[in-house]
Amino acid sequence: MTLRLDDLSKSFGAVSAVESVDLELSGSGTLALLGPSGCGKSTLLRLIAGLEQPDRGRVLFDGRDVTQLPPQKRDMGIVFQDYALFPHLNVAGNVGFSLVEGRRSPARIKSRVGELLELVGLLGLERRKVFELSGGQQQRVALARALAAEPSLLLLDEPLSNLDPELRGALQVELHDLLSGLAVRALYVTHDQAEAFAVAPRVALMRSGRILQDGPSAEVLAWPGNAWAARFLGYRNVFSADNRPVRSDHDGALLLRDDLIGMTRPVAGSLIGHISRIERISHRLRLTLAIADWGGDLIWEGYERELPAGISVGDELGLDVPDAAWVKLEPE
Amino acid sequence: MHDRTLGHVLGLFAALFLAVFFFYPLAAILFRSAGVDSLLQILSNPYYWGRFAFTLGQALLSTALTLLLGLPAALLFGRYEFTGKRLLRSLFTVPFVMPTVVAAVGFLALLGPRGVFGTDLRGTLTLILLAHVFYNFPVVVRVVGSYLEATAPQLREAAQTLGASPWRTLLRVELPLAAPALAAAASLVFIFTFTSFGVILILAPNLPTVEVEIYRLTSRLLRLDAAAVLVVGQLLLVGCVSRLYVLLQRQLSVRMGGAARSLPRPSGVVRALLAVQLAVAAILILSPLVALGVQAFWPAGQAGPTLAGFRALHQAPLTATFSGAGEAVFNSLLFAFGTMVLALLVGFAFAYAVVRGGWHWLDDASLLPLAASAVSLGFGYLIAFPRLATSPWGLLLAHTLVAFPFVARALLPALRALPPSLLEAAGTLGAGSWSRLRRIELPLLRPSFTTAAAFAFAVSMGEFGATLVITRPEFATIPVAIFDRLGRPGLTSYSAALALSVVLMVVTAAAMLVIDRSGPGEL
Repeated sequence: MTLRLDDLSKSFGAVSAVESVDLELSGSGTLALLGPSGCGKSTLLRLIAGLEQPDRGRVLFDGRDVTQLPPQKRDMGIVFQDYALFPHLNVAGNVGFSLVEGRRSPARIKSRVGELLELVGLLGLERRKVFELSGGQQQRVALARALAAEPSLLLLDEPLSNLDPELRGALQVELHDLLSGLAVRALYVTHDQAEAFAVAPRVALMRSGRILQDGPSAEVLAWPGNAWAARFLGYRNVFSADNRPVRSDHDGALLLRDDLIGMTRPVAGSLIGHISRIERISHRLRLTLAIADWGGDLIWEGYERELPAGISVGDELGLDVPDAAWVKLEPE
Repeated sequence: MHDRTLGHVLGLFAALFLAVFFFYPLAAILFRSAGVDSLLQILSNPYYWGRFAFTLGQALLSTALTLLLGLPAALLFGRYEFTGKRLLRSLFTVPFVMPTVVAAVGFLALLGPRGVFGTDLRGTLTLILLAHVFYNFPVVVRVVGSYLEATAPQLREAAQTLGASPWRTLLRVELPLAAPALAAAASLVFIFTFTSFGVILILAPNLPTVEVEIYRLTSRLLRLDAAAVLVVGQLLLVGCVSRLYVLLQRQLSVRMGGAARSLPRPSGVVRALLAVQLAVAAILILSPLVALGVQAFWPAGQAGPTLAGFRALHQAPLTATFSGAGEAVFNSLLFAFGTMVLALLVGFAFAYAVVRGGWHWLDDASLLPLAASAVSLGFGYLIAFPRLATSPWGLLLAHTLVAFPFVARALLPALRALPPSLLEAAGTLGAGSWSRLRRIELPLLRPSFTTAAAFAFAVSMGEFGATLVITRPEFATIPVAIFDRLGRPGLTSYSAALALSVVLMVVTAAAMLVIDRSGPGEL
């Protein structure tokens, strides 16, 4: 199954939600569409599903233009952010909804519903009313319902955002395992970068209606495209072009990946940092270091064991900065 | 929650009010009808069975027609966004507020003996059904349409992505979703049309409903025992249907949480369908009111426009039993303002006791006066408080009883929506329950109080059944004066009735503008 978006654009009044998006998905596996709220990722998902009509551009499934097709004629399932479970149907009725539309026999519907509920770990809850379920259970019913008709594309719109953080973490792992075990292409929309990387092997970054960067998760994480992407992915040491601490042949902004910096006792010849602040972030420490050579600050985060013993505010540290820690950023 | 003293005090007050001014008068009627002889006499009289059958038949027919007309409009209303939707929604509040007397006189101006079309449908079942559909069709659109609007858009999208075509979505999602709301609306319409009084008395007095029969028996024939039997029979039936309504309402409040979606705009065939539907709806609602307005200034048969009807308003009473129009306007305003104050007090006591005192049974109980018919209540007052009923206080209390449920219904959702943390915060800052009420709750409830006050005012202005039963000439209100003039021959009386109806319509329309800003609450 290949999904191709071709110069897709959509605006609401004066607001342009999706702007000239080209994207190609092929094979199986999950792509996370990651971006801050209001960046147009949900609109993009709705365009793919056929719930919105684009102003310009095409949506192609396996080379076939489906732009004009209504949602029910497209081969995809969708998990809505608020689940949109039918309150007048029980769990089995919800999960089997698309199977009834597909004119399957009652016996086949029953066995398929059983299969799906087993897959999401809700076997035995067939007769339950959906509003009596917990949030996590509702989320699983929504997933089973979307998978019932064996769509070749699964769309998930912030499926975990209505759950509390602890449950969200557990379900992220569960969803990752489940999705990678299925032969279905999934597009997973989220604003939470940790969730995107936990669930999907591939990530597309989206900002202001445009796809900024798209690639394997590890690559996107290691080499963010521009300063905005670097900050959005959680990097703190981003230096703009006119404020670079080191000489470089690159004329754009620079990112210094603190996760690659080694910390030692101050040694002659190494870069020296002066600890101006120590914060404890659960198991980890965050240091703010004033670097005299640069006339600026560096923020480092890591475990206590990576640091020389017994440091405190006012102490000096030696910084071992490999060349690979410097990432050249494209202009925004 | 911390101390509930105030909630309990108000709960006690509310329960006492209901016991003394609602249950006691009804019990008095029951007591009155308890004689086995009169009971058998009434039950063996085929005339009363006939009236009961007619009332039931016209109520069922009215309900069915109302649903038939209301459902497509409700579906379109819940499904699409379109220009003029807000205006139409306001228009659909009309029947919640417009007095039945105004509606009835409007239909008289439209299709009565002197109607604008020259067709006289007075005294026919057709006119009764038309008036009932006019009055109740917007109730269906409002109740069902709003419910669908709030729940269906996201579910419709989900159904589509699961392979259902628009028709299949209608069949498998929207109609099943609408069913409980539709049943709730149907039971409400049934209650309204079964106990229909003003419409029947003015448009087809030859086809009396049970309610009209009760009025005839008490006020004209003075057969209180027979009236009591009818009241009890009607109470039993309407009570059951009201219970059904409450249960359905509760089912409707079990909702799935979900983000509101913006609705699509209609296109093609649907657009044409919607336009036709809504045009019919608007014409149905507006035509009697327009006919009334036109005829008040230009009665049929007159050469040109005239203000004769309005001039008659300040004429002195002609006889001792016939109150002047100016006096009626004065009385109506006086009772309406009095009712407003009392109903706000009582309605607030109910709402506060339910939410802050945990007196949950008062929630359902506050709907009871709506289910009991107004004529029965008036009759109950006559029996239970013969002296009080003939003083202005009797009328004021009867109006309060009919109006406070609207107040309670308007305040309940607002009070429930107040975050408890606000009160807890005020508590930790040293505010006792009285202080919290005065400094936190009352200021935050102000918009709802405005709606509630406007409702109470409008209900009192339009109250007809109870007023007609217990009124004395010197306390006559506008609706009573209108009815009085309709019963007299001659164009002058007819014009005066029209002019008074216009006055009543304008005053209630003003109240409606106030209500429109925040909607009719939980009803």
